[in-house]
Order: sequence, then structure tokens, then C-alpha cells
Amino acid sequence: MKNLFIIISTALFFASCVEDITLPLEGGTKMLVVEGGLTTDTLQHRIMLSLTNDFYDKSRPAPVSGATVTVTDGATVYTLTEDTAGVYLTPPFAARVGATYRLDVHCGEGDFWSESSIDYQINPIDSVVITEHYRRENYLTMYIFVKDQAEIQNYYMGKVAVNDSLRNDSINRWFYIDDMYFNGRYIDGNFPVYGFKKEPDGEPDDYRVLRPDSRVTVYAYGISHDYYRFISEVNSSGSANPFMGPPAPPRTNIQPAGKACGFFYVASASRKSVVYLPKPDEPVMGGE
Amino acid sequence: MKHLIPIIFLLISATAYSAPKDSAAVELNEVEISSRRNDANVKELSMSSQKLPILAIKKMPALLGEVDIIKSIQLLPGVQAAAEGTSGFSVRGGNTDQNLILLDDAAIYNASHLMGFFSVFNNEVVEDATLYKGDIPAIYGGRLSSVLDVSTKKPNAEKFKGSGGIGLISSRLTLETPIIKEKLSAYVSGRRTYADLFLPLAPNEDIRNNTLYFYDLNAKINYDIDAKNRVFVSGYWGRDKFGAQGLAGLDFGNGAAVARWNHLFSNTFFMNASLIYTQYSYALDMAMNEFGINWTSRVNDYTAKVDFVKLFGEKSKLRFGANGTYHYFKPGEIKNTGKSQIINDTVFNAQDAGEYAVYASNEHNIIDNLLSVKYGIRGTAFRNGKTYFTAEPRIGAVLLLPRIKSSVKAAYSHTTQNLLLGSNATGGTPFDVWYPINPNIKPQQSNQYTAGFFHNFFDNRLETSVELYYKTISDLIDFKDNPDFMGNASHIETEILTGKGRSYGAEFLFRKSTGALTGWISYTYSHSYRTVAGINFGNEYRSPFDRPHNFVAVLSWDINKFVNISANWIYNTGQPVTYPTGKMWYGNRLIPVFSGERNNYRFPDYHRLDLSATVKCRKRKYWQGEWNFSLYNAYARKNVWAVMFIQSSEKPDELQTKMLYLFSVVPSVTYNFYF
Repeated sequence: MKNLFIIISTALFFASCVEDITLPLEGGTKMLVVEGGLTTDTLQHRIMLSLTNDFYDKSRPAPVSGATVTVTDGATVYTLTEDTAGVYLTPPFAARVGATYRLDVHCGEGDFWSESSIDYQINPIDSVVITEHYRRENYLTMYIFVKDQAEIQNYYMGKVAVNDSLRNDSINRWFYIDDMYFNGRYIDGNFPVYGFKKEPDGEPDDYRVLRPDSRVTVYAYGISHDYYRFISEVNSSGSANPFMGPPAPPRTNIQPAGKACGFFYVASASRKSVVYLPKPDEPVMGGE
Repeated sequence: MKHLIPIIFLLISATAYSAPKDSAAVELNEVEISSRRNDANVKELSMSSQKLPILAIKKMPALLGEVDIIKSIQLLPGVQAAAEGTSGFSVRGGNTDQNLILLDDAAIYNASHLMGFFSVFNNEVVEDATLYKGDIPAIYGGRLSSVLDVSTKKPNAEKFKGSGGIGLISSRLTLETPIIKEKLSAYVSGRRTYADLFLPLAPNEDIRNNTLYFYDLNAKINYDIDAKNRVFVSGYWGRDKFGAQGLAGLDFGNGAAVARWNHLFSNTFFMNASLIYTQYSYALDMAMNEFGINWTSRVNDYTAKVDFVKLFGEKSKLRFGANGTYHYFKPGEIKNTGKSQIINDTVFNAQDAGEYAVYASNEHNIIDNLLSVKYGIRGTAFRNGKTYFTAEPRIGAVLLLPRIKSSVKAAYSHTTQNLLLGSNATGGTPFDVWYPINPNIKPQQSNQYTAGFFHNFFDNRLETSVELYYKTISDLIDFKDNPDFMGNASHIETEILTGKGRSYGAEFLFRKSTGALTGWISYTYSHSYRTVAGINFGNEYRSPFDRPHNFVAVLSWDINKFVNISANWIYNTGQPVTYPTGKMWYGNRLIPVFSGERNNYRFPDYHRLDLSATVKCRKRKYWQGEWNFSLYNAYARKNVWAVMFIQSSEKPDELQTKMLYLFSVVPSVTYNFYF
């Protein structure tokens, strides 16, 4: 009887079902996709070029090889070299806060360009804490200590690496937030930014497993409102349902309009690392 | 059947009022002194409106056995459900926020319970519901597309009575009693879902700690002071409560209170004076360790109104009145509730506004049994930083064709809307926030032209009509692609684009209201389009409610005095939807690519059959029971509710499309009782 009630109530509220459906989609015009940007770290910055393809095409969108790609701040022109197919690297340099960078791409699909900048340096992360989840036994929570800048609107994007391997390496797993609700506050370690698991348990989030003695690095970026919005819009484009508005193309900053998509960004960067050394009843704190 | 309620009401009213010998219906809200003729649909001036008595609504098959007025309204010609299962509806292609929903004249800002599967209207206390979808009388204003006027019943002043129902997921109970016989009477009615009562039986502790229910309470007290004066106070309070493991909670609902004085100056001059309060609010709580926030939002109205009716013999009926509403809007307020004060307590642009209206309209019988006309105007002033004045003319005429027992009607109405819903979700959510227009947002205005031919067959037992309409909207509001409602809650105008809209259609209705077999069959052909610079490259696009073909059959058959069977069948062209045209690789993911065209495809066509059977038990001295068995979506049609674009986990180079449907066949059983 007990089970019957559960079955009935569950059936009534969760009787919905998911099935495959094939939509009568018409192919669209192929567009150039630009992904990548510059940060204030000194390194070889990466720009990736590819083409859109038909929705039901069984292959991954093709990279665009052989393009001429340059970045300039108006004074210096950096010419990118193709590393692997569709992946272009700048010479090592650090982007400057306040400078406007122009990207130019010349390829078989035509000429494309974009401009981007970041107008603030992200504050350094003071420390990182990994501690037991307060109620779920197999889980760990990572907190950061950092001061938000009061005088400006900040937009943050974060990635987490374990032993130099990114754990949230896809856009749907990136951490991104604006400071609308905490502008000017000191983030005092009570705001969870990422979750780990101690042991795999067969669930889809097993990629979050964190072993003792692992080195965890938080990469934090100060990004522009436009790039924040682009990430948010990409992550909102996964369905057409009555509880959301009509899906729409994420706003791109790649020109000419209608012929390209993606985003070219400039970000100010900060990072902090910690080695996970679990001790009972004692959180791990520190940084390097 | 549809004449039964007015007749009963007439008998009740006749004891308190000296009714004028007027053959036309004189309606002053719930004061209905009516001898509505069975050919009224042909002879009356009104068109584009439908009145559904609660007795007819109760016979219809119902989702989860809970008869619902809005689900019934969604079956009328020219009306569409905004989405499967929701309480939102579109009238003649209009947006869901263009419907004024009234409960005893109190505006209901979000009529949904349980994500829209139920509405706020408890059928135990409802007298009837009238939907005006065009030719809106001048007494109403504030919305572009329709008025749904729901009236609660008058408490029984003769004897103590009770009624209720026990269903699979909800129950209700109504008690009504005279306090001073034939003078003072009251009822109280409550309804609650109890699916959550079974949650403690769940094996998973996380599920056990969840909360999931709604309740609502209606109460009314009526005092027939003398033959010329009557007062009543009615109230409504309803909340939905969701809670997940102590981590998050959602609480939302409406409240309304109405105090009204009906006064008869003479047998030909009546007045209603009302004070009305209404509110909709929600609260979202989240807590995690020492971190906790509370997000609240609400809208309040305080309204005073007075309405008069003056009869000039059988030739003319003059209505006039005035009303004023003080609106208060708080789109959002966020506060810390945890030990850790991590956020800044913030209020998003709380604002108030005043809305004032005067109106006058006259129905004039120019030539007996041949030609009647009506004309009226409503003037509105709306103040929020800037005061907008609008004039809304309403005119109409009926030309009787006695030889063929038919009539031709035509009407024009101009409507204005000064409020808007800050959401582009067609289905409606508890988080929907209302905003007033401001110096940067003009009022939306609509012109609707309607014409119809009305004819009854078989001595008025079969009513038929065809209505044509054409509607335009200026300063129409739509939202940009990818609007940010939360981020711009204080500046909603930054997410708005304005343009124009047009809708047109033909509605065919066959309705039988008497005899053992009752119901209606309707077919509607319609289109609804918008043109807004900045959307769809500036080209005209389908509104989300452009669904050209709509066929509905609602049939109810009293097999004998104990058994009734009913069936609904609904067919709709698929809802417009925006689909991608390709895919791209970005951020290590496959992402759907959209062209920028809006509503460029349609969901598959929607159709559904509902069945129900009601079996009355043998009447006992103080108790009458009945069982209702219903099947929603009887042949288990998988109607698409949402489509998702998902990167395949097995083939990561491919995007898959998945459809979500809400319901397969949903059986239910309810036991109703009366004592």
C-alpha cells in the first residue's frame, strides 16, 4: 500500500517523458565561429576557427585552416601561427587592462574582425578552501576568499584544474557570475564556487572526484559584460519550452554581422592553487 | 442547462428585489435580474462573449479530477491554452498578460496553482464565468484582449448546506449557512492538495523532506439589508508551497478581498459600490550552510469603484461609473537570511502607479425587433512618472432578421493596457513580475472589429454562430532576443521592443444547451502576427499563439438521472517555435545555432481526448454523493511540451533533439458530496 501511494503520487507529478524527435530543419548558411581571446597572463593566447554545419550533420563542425590571423592593440601587431588544424597561437605576450585589441581573420570564407577590451584588473584570490560538504557525506565544497571591487560592475568567469587538468573544461560547466548582489563585499569563504566528490558512485558527476594530495588550481577571470552575457546566452540555448522565451542566437562581437558567430574576449586573470590534504574536522586552507 | 443558473438566481433575487418588467437582461455584476431568453444569443447586443455556468463546467472531464474553470475556458472558440497543462490562455492571438481575470471584480495577477495544472478558482464557490474576447463592455478596462469575469455564488440564506469532494491529489469542503435567516448568510470553502502527505513514505530521505502542496480559502458573507440594499464581503487567499530538502523553498499566491454595496434607487436605477484589494506575491528562499537568501516580489492593488445602471423603459439602458486603482509594484527584494551576510540587501525599483477610469455606455433599442445599437466610451488616466490619457470607444449593433430567425451583429472596441508582464515565457511561471508602463513605455492599444451571424435551430435548442474578427495592436510590447529580466528588473524598458500586431480569424460555434445531450462543437481559423524592429530582422513574425486551426468538441450526455458521460476532443495546429538551423563548436561543446528568425517552425499538431463518467449515488436524507471517473488524454497522445537540443553522450559530434511531453493517459477518480 505504501508503495502504491508513492507510485501514484510520483506518476501524477512526474508522468512526463522524454523521447527522441526528428525535426524538419532546414540547413542554414555556414558561418565562421571564432573562439578565444587574450588574458593578462604572459602566454601564447589561442584563437580557434571553425565553421558551423547542419544541425543533424553527424560530423563535428570543421576547423578552418590556413587563415591569416592577427591581433593588434594599435601599436603592436601580433601574427598568429596555426598550431593544429583551426587552432592559432599568438607569440607570448600579456594583454593590457584598458587597451582595445582588434582581431582580424582572413580566410576562404572572407574577412572577419572584432574588437574587445577589459577595463579592470581582477582582484587576487586571497585563499582557497576545500572542506567537507556540510550535509552530503561524499562531497567536498570549495570556497574562495576574495574582495569584490565596489566602484565597478564586475563579471567573473572561473575554471578549476586538478593537477593541471581542467575539470570544468566545457562552457556548460564554467563558473560565471556578476557582482550585482555582492558588489563591494569581501567574499569570506561562505560562498561555494565548486563541488568535488571523494569517491565515484556511478553518477554522471563522477568527473568531480578529487583524490588526496591533488593540486587544485582556481583560474579566475575578470571579463566584460558582453562576454559574460555571451556565455550566459550560449548556456540558455538548449531548449524551446514554455517556461522560457524563444531561443535566440547569442550576441556575438564578430563582424560582419550574420556571417560569423562566437566571441573574441580580453580578460584579466588571477589564479590560486591549493593541495588537497584531507584531515578530519579540519578544512584545508592555503595557497601558493 | 445554461439557463438554469440565471433562473435560480432570478428566483433568489426576486425575493429581495422588485424586479423591473424588463425583458432584457440587466446585469450589475453578481446582481443578475434576468429572464434571459433562450434566443438571447441571437437577439442580444453582446457578441464575442461566452458565459459558462458552473453546472456545465462541472460536467467536463478534468485533469486529475479537479474541475477547473480556466481549463474549460480554454475550450471556447478563439481561446487557446498557452501550453499543455497551464492556466495561461491566449484570446484571439493575444498574449497571456492581455487577459483581465477577475474574481468578484478583484484582478487576479497569476491564476495558476501547481505550475498551472490548476487555477485559483475553486469550483465549489463559483457561480459562473463569463469571457469577453472582443466587444468588451465599457465597464471593463485595463487589458487588450479579453476579460474573464468569475463571480462567486451568494451564500445560502435558507438552510445550512455543505459540499465537497475527495480526489486523488486534492480535496475540498464548503460550508454555508444562514446566520439570520433570509438576511445574513455566509460560506467558507477550502481546498488543499495532499500529494505531499505521501512523501514521508518515500524510501529516499531527501524526498521525504520535500514540500509540495497548495491550498486556497474562499469566504463570503452576504447581508440583504432590505429590499433596496445589500452588502457582501468576499475574500480569497491561496498559496502554493514547494520545498526541497530544506535547501530551497518557494511560496506564491494571490489574495483578494471585495466589499460591495448594491443599492436600488428605484426599480430602474441601480448602483454597485465596491472597495477591492488584491495582491500577488512570491517568496523564494535558499539556504546552504551559513549562506541564505530570501527573494520576494509582489504586486498590490487598492481599488474603489462605483457602477450605475439606469433603465429607460424597454428602449434604453444606460451604464456609467468610475473607478480608481492604486497599484504598488515591487519587482524584487533580496535579503540575507543566513549567518553569513554575503549579499547586499537590495530592492529593485519598487514603484507605485495610479489608474483612473470613467465610462458611460448606452444600449438603445431603435426599432423593436429589428435594430438595436450600443455605444460607449471609457476614459483612462494612468500615472507613473508621466500621465497617459486614453479614450476607448466601444460601439456595436444588432440587426434582427425575424423571417429567418437570425441576426447580424457588428462591434468595434478600442482597449488600452497600462501594465505588462516581465516575461517572454508563454506558459507563465510563479516568478512572473508585473510592471507598470512608465515615461519610456507607452500604453499598448488595440482596435478590434467584429461581425457575426447568429441563428438558432430547433426552437432555439441548437445555437449556431459565425464570428469574424480583425484586431490590430499599436505600441505592442515584445522582448528582445535573450532578454535579462533578473538583471534589469529595475529597468525593464531596456529589454522591451515595441511594434505592431495584427490578428484575424473566423469562429464557428454549434452549441446545444438543453436536453440530455449538451455541449458545443467549434472550429476556429485564425492568425496572429507581430512586426517589431529588432526582432526577426524587422520582418513580420508569428505570435507565439498563431495556431490557425482549432477544433473543439465538448459533449455531455445525461444517460439517465444517475449517470452522465462526457467527452472533450481538442485539435490545434502546433504552436510556433524557434528551432536552430545548425550547430557550432564552442567551449568544448556543440551548441545549436539560431538564425535570428523567431517562431520559424511549429511543434507537431496538438490533439487530445478526455473522457469522464459521473455516477450519482442514491440520495439519502441528508447526503448526496457522486463518483467521477475521468481519463485525461485518453488515447495517450504524446503532445510536445518542449524540445531540447542535447549533445549526444555516445556520439559527441552529434546534437540530438528530444521532446518532452507532460502527460500520457491520466486516470483519476473523485468522490463529490453534498449535504
